Amino acid sequence: MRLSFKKILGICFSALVVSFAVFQIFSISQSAEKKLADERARLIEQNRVPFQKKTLIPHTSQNIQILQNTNTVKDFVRFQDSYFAATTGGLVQFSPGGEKIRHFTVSDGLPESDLTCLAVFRGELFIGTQSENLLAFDGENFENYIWTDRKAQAVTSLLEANGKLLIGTMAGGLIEFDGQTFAEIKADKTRISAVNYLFKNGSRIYIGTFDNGLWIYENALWSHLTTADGLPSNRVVGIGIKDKKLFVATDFGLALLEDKTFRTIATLPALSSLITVGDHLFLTKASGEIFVFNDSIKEVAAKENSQDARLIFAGEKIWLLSNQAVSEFQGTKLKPFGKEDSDVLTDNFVSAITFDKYENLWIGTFRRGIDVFTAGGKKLKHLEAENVREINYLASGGESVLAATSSGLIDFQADFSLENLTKKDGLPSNSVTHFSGAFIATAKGLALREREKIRFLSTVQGLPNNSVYTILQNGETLYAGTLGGLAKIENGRVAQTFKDSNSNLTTNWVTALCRVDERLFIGTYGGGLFELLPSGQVRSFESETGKFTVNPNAMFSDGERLYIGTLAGLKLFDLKTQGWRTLKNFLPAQTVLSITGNGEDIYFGTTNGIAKVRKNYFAAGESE
Amino acid sequence: MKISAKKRATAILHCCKHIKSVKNRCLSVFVCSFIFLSLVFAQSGVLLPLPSGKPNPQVLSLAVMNVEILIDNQHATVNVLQIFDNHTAQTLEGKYVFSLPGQSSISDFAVWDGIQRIPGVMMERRRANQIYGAIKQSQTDPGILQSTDETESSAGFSAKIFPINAYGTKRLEMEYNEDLAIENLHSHFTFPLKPSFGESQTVKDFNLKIRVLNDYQITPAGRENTTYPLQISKQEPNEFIGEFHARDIKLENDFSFDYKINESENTLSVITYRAPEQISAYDLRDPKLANQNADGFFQAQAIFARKPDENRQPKRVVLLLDTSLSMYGDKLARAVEAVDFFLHGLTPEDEFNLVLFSDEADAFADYPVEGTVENIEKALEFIKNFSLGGGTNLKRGLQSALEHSQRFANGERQIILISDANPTLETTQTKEIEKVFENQNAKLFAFALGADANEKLLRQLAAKTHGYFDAARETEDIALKLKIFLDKVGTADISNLNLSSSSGENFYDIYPSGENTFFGSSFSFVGRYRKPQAETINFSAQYGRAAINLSRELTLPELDATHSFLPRLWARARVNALLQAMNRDGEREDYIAEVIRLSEKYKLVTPYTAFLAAPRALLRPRLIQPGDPVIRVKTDESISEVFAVLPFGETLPLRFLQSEGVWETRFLAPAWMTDGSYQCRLLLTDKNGNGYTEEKTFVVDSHAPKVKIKLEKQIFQAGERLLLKVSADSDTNRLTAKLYGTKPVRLFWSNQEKTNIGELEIPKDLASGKYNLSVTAEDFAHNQAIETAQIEVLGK
Repeated sequence: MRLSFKKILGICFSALVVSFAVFQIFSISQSAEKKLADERARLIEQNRVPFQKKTLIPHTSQNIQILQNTNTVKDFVRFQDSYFAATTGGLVQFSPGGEKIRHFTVSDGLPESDLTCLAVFRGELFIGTQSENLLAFDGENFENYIWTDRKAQAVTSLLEANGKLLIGTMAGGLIEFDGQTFAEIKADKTRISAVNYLFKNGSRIYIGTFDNGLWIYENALWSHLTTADGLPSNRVVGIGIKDKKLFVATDFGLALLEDKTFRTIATLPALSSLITVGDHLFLTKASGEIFVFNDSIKEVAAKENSQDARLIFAGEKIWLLSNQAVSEFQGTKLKPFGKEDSDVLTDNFVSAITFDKYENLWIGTFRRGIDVFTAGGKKLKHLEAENVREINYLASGGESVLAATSSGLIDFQADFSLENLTKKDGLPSNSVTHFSGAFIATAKGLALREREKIRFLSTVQGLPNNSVYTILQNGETLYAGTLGGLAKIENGRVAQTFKDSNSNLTTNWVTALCRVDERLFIGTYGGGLFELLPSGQVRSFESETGKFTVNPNAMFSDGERLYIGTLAGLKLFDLKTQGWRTLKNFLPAQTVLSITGNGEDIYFGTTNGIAKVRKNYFAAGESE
Repeated sequence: MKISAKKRATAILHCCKHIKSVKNRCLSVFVCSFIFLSLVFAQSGVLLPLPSGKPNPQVLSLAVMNVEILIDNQHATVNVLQIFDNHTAQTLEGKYVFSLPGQSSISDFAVWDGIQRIPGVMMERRRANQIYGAIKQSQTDPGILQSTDETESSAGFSAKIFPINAYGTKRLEMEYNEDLAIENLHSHFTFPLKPSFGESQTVKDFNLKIRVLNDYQITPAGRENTTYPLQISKQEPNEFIGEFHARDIKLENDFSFDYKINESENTLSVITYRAPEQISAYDLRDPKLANQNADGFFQAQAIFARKPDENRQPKRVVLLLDTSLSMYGDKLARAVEAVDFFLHGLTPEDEFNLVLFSDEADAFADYPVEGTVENIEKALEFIKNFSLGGGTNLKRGLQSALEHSQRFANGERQIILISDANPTLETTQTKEIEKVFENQNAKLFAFALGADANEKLLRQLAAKTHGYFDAARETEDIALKLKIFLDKVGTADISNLNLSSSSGENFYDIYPSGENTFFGSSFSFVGRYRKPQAETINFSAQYGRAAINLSRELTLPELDATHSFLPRLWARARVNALLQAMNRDGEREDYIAEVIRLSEKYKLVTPYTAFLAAPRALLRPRLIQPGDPVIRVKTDESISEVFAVLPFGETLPLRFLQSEGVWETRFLAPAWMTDGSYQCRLLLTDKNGNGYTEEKTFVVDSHAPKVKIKLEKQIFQAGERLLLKVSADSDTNRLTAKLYGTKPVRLFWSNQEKTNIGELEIPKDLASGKYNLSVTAEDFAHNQAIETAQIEVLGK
C-alpha cells in the first residue's frame, strides 16, 4: 500500500505534534519535579534543626558508685548479637540467653539515666532520653546529639523509615535524621507536638500523639484523625494492620478505621500498646494484661503488679516490658528474661535517705515506700503499705527511724513494726514534710507534740504561711521554713519573720535549713542559698552562685562542706575556702532530692537512683 | 480530616452521623457534667474551649447574652440565654461554667443543637443509674450529680458541651432561683458577671431586664449602678422595671440591685397561685397520682418593720470560739476574722468575755471585761498566743461559756458560738448537748463555719434558746453575713409564730420559713389551699412579753398564674419537711416516693434524686499547693482501676486507699511546669470491665500571694481615714487589712485606681504611737501571706 504525500505529510505533522506534546509534557514534568525538589530542598533547609554533637567521656572513678534499679524497661532491641534495654536506670546489655552483660550508667558517659526509646540505625544504637535529646552508641562509646534551637523535652519514639531515622519528641516536634543532618517534619507547616508513637506501613508513616490523635503521611499529603473522627481517645499508643485494615490503639480502647471514620472495637482504659505478629493483633494494658484480637478481644496472659507495661517485637520474639523488667511472651505464658536482681532499689525516685544506729541505709522513695540496706549492700527489707508509700524525709531517732510521709509521721522500731501519727491523732495534715524533736512540719502548719497532746501554730499565730517545709532547732529557738518566709519561734510563739519585704531574702519559699557550727544556712526554692547571720541580718550568696532551686530538705554538711541538692545538680560550698562548685556528671539525675553521709561517704538521692561518693572525691583535683 | 475544606466538611458530616437519634444526640450533646466545683475562672456563663480549658475569645466568643430577672416578693427567678460563636474551622468541645450566687439553686438548663432544644433531666437516682449503665459505652459517659460536691469555694455549675460546629454557634439557656433575704427592710440582688479570676468576658450584644414585683411598696435603693445604668420603663409603688442594653461591653463588674421595702408598720401580705397542674412521667406510674391536683398554693409573708422604741441596751456577751483541730486552716482564719469583727463593734458600755475551747475550755478573763479598745486588742492577742489543737468538747465549751455568762453584772446573757460543731469528746449526742441550756436564761447565737459544719445541731441549739443561726463556708466572703448575724446579738427575737385561717380546714401542708425572726426582717408560711373562697388569715407572734397580731382578708383565686414560683417554693419546703421527718423517725416508702415525685417535677436535688449527668469521679484536690503534689479521686464502689493521664506526658496508676476510700497517686511536676490550670484525664475501669474516661482540671499554685502596701504618708491623726492601696498577685482572692483598734476591712479591686483599695478609720481615742498595719492576702489555693507596714498615729 502506498501512502499519498498528503497522508505522509499528515502523519509526519501528527508525529511532530505528538513529539512536541510529549516534549512539552516531559518539560512540564521535569520542571514540576524540579520545582518540587527545590521546594522540598527549601523546606528541608527551612526546617533544618541545628545541633551540637558531643562525644561523651566515661566518668570512671573508684570513688563513685551508682545504685540504680534497671527493672523499669522502656524499650528493648537486638543490637550487635546482644539485647539492649533502655531503662530508667541507664542502658543494660544482655546476652541472647538473658544474662546481664553490662550496665551502662552516667559513669560510662550517659548524660542522664532516664532512657526512653531505642532504634538501630546505620549500624549504631540510637537512644532517646528524657531531657538530653538523642544518643548514639557504637557498642562502646556514646555520642550526644543536642538540638540547639528548641527544648524538645523527652524523645518519646524512634523509627527507621526510608533510610532515615524518625525521632518523635514531646515538645520539639517530629524530627528526621539522615545520618548527617536533622530536619523537622511539619504537617502543613504546623509542628506535630507531643509525638507518642511512630509506625510505618509501606509508604505510609503513622504518627500517634499524646493528646492530638493520629497523623498520617503519604506522598506529601497529611491527614489528621482525632476523637472527632471516632478515635476512642486522642492519645495513640499503638497501630496494627490486619487484613489490610488499620487498627489504632488509644489509651481508652481499640478502634478500626472504616471509611475515614473509626469504629470502637473495644473500650480498654489504660491500653498501652498494640503489635501485629502474623495474623494476630496483640495488645496490652499498662497494668500488664495481654490480649489477643481476632474477631474479638480475649485476655491471654498477665504480668501481675505491673506498671507501664507494653509489648514490643524484637529479634523475632514478642516481649513484655514493664517495671518488672523484660519477659518473653510465649502464646499464653510469660517467661522472665534473665535473673531478677533482688538487691536493688525498689524504685529509683529517692526522696529521702538516712542511716540508722546500726549503719543500715534507709532509702525513702517518692511513691514506693522504703528500702533498708545493710552496710554491705544487701537489701534487708522493703517496707511498703497503704500508709508507707510516699516518703518525704527520714531521720534516725535513737532506736527507731522516723519517716515524714504523705500519710503522717511514722516511727519504725528496730523490728520494723511501726506507729503512725496522723490527722486522727491531732496532726493538722497527713502531709508531713519534716520533723525535728517534738516539732512536725506539715502542709497545713507546724505541730508540736506535748505529752499526749498535739498543738499547732498557723498563720493566725503569725507563721508566714501554713505550708511548712523544713524546721531546725537551735537551742531554745526553732526556725520554720515556709512557703511565705522563715519564722523564728521562741517559747511557742512566732518571734520574728524573715521575708523578701523585711530582709535580704529574695525568695520567700524556704525549703531547707542546715546548721554548721554557728552558721545557719537557708535554702530556698528559686532564690538559692542565704545565711542568717548572728546579727539577725540575712546574707545572700546570689552574687557568687546566681539563683537556683534548693529541693526540700536537700542540704547536708559534713563539717567541711555544705552539700546542696538542686534541680540542676549538686552545689557544693567549701566552708573553709568559701568557694563554690557545681557538680553534675557523676549524678544519676540532675534533680538531687536527698543527701546524707557517714564517716566515709556522701549519698545523693536523685530522681534516678543514688550516687555513693567517697568524701575524698570532693577534694580538689578529682571532681569535675 | 485535615486535608482540605471539603474533607473537613466530610469529617463534620461523619461526626454528625454519630448522632443517630434524638436520644443519642441528647447523650452526645449532653455529655453534661453538672458538677459543683471550685471555679477558678468562675464567672457567669463562659464557654471554655477544651482541652485548654482557658477562656479564649479568638476561639469561642460570647455573641449574645440576655438576662431576665424577675424578683417576685423576694423570690428571684433568673433566666439566662447565651449564644457563643466558634471562630475556628474545627468542631470544638467546650466547658460551660457559671458561678451561682451563694444561696441559689439551678432549676433548668438546656443546650440547643441546631433547632433541637435538649433539656437537662432530673430523675430518680436508681433510674439515673440504670440509664447511666445503658449508655456507658458512649464516647464520653454521663454520670450523676451527687448531693455531695467537690466545692471548695463558691458554688458553681458546669457542663460539657459538644459539638460546637466549625464557624457555628451554640445556644445555651439556664434558669436559677434565689430567695432574697430582707434585712433592715432592704433586699439585695446580685447577678455575677465579674470573673473571680482571669480576664473579663466581652459580649457583643448584652441585654438585661429586671422586674421587681412586691405586695409591699418598694423603692430602689443603694448606690447608682454606674457600670450598668438602667433605663427605667416602670416605677410604681409595687413594681419596678429597668433595662440595660449595650454592644461590645466588657463584663468587668457584677450587676446588683438593692431595694427598700417602704413599710413603717408590721404588715402581712399573701400571694397565691392556682392553675391546672402538669402531670409528670413519674406521676403516670401511679394512677392515683395521674389525676391533676387542682389545689392552689399560697405564701403569707409578714414584715416586721416597727420595732418598739427601746434604748440601746448594753451587750453582755461571751464569745465562744472553737480552736480544735477540725477548725484548722481556713475555718480558723474566718473564725478569728469574725471575732475581730464582732469585738470591734463593742463599746465601753458593753461587757464581754472570750472562751476558747477544744478538749478543754480556756477563758480570756476570770470576769467579764468592758469593751474598750485595750481589752479588745488583748483578747485578740490572747487568741494569737494560744496554741491550737485537740478534740472538740462542745458540751464543755458551752458549759464554760454559760458559767462565765453568769458573772455578768446584769442584763440578758448571750453566747456567740463560732464553730464547725463537730463534737468528738465527752458526748456527741445532740440531746446531751442541748441539756446544757436547760433552765438557763441565755441565748445562743451560733455561726457555723465550714462545708462540713453540723448546721442541724447549731440550728437546733439556737432555736431552743431563741437565739439566731447562720452558716458560711470557710472559703466565702463572710463580711456581710457577719454584719447581719452580729446585728442580731443584743436584740430580742420574734418567736412563737403561728398562722391560722377563718375557715380552718381550707389550708393544709403549711410550712414556716424558720423558727424565729427579728425586726427589720420577714417571716413566711407557704402552703396549699383547697377551695377558692374568701378567707381571713391571722398571723400571731411574740416579741418579749408583747404579742404581735396581724391579719388580712382576701379571696383565694380560682385561677391566678401570676406567682408561678410558688409551687416550687412549696415543693422545696414539703421535701425538706419529709426529709427531716425521715431523719428523725426513719425512712418511709411513701415519703420517699413523694420526695422523688416532687423533686423530679420541680427539679430539686435530694438524696433520692439526681440530675443526669455528672462526673463518675471527683478529683481532689483541685488546687494543688506545693508540697502536696497528690491527685486523689473519689469514685463509686464499682470502679476497680484508675489511671491519671497527666498533661506532661506521664500516665500514673492510682492506688486505692482502703482507709480513706479514695484513689491516690503522687506526681512530681516538671521544673518547666509553671503555675496555672492544667487538664488531667482519668481512665476508669469498673468491676465488669467497662471503661470510662473523664477530663478534670487542677491548678498548680506554688506561690503565696505577694503583697505590697502603698501609703501616701506615714503619719496620721487619730480619727483620720486612712486610704490604703495594696497591690497583690493576680490570683489573690481575698485581701484584708487590720490596724490596732479597728475592725478588719476587706480591700477590693478598683478599676479607677488600678489597684486594691480600702479605707480604715483610725480610732479617735487611739493613743499616740507607732502601730502595725497588716494586710493578709489569700489566693485561690488558700496560700496566705501577711505583709505589715508601720504607721505613726498622733493622738488627740
